[in-house]
Amino acid sequence: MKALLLARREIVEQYSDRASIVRALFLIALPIALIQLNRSAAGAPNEFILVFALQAALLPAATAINAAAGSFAAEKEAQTLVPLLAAPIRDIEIVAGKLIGVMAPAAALSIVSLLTFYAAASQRFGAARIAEVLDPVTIAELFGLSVLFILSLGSWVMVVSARVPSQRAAQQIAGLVLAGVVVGLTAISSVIGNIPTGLIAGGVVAVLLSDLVALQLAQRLWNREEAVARL
Amino acid sequence: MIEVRDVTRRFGSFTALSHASFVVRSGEIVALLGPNGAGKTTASRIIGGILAPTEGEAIVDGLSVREHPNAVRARCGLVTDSPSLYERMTLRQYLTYFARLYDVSAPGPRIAELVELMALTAMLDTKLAAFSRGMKQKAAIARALVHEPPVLLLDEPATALDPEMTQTLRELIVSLRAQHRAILLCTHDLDEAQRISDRVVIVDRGRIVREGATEELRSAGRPAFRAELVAGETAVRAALAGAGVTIDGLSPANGRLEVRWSADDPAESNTRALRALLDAGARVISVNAETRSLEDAYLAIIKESRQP
Repeated sequence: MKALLLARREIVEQYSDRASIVRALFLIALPIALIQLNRSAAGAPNEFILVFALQAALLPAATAINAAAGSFAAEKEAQTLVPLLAAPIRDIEIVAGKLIGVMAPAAALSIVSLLTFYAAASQRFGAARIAEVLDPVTIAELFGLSVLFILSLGSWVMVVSARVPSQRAAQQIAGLVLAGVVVGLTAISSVIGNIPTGLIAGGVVAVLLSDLVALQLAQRLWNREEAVARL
Repeated sequence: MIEVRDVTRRFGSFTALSHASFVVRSGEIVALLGPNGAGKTTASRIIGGILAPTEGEAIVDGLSVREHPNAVRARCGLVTDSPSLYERMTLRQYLTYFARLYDVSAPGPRIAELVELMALTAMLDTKLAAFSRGMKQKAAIARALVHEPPVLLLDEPATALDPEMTQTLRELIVSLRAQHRAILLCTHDLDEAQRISDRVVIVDRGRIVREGATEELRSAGRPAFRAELVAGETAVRAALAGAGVTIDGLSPANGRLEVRWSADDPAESNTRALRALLDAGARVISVNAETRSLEDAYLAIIKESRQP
């Protein structure tokens, strides 16, 4: 319950900043703009639509990077950690609250982005074709992938954020990660039709394992002793 | 209410607190005095359940900080030198947030009571970013009191406050003592400690070097005396040396001579000193016992503790 309280404060804190809202809207609008502006899109194969749908799901999820970057570093810098650590909250609740605060808005943005993309793509390619390419199972899979993606980015960036001295440093790292994500998505887009199914499954397992490691690390770094030692 | 028993806290190879023991009772203000880096903040964090002791035990309201850290945190209110607020929140949102973290079931009346006590009622729906430094510190104190803790840990609470605000804070702390709270005031502000604390614990380099009632510490050490004379410096030195009195200080001022000495047995030593001075032809204007301030006592204790 207290984790939800912490998460709510994190979310309000993130979105009371106008730049965060603009960034989120931009990331939602980007894949839609790309298919609207691409003249050859009408005759493109179904994989093309899938690639853009993938981007629509994952790009808004990247907002989790910034939120995670600020989660520890900003509190450390503003010295707001001590009152939090002095409150009767268990370490696990703090980690869970921080993660939920990072993940929930990014996941919500991802689903909004996917649905908006669905509507825009239906208008561009015809509703029947989109209903066939982006059937409910595919949409659910894309959303699941974006949640995994958010969990990976969020927890790893939180780990890094706990170790850097300032929010500025954390945001610089977040910027680098974001650039890496964009490059990665572009690369996937160009070879998506040629990736063997086994490799995709292996990739998903690798991401899951990496998430478990990151969560363990994040929990250790959010241990009071560790957190206080870094103040 | 607070019992620190032989507590040691190490950070790697650095020992921040070494075998510290002291007690703070209900309705008592104890000042934990010491220079920067002495271990005051570490002690308050251990008592507040934020840090676990490496060795020893701290008991708060009958609960061990090792075994029941969450319950201990729920019984402590912590104020630090920096207000450390979420500045995008309004005061009402901020206090409500912490009231919920501390499981206060109906925070509304408590918040209303606190903001009235802090004279912040008009600011309740203002964002904390717009508060002055003093108002922010008041908000931090309100946060620390929102769950009505029996124990208050004040770590340099008056840092950067103006004299008026410091006075208000002092009155508030004294009023909280009257509510039978145990208050640990970590500070290096000796004036503050002298004014409000009942007892003083002096810590230096992680070790507790002296503990006692404020008055007791001030009067500790050899009694010191100061005489104002009209006499020659050489004659005075010779007379006091002949009387077996060791001079602590001798300085000319406005054609007069100010002499300071200390004595284990004032009745005996002072009689001898005065007789010798009069015999040497000195005219005695005044002789006074010197009252040590807490600062003098503190400096003497710290100096003594650092001697090999």
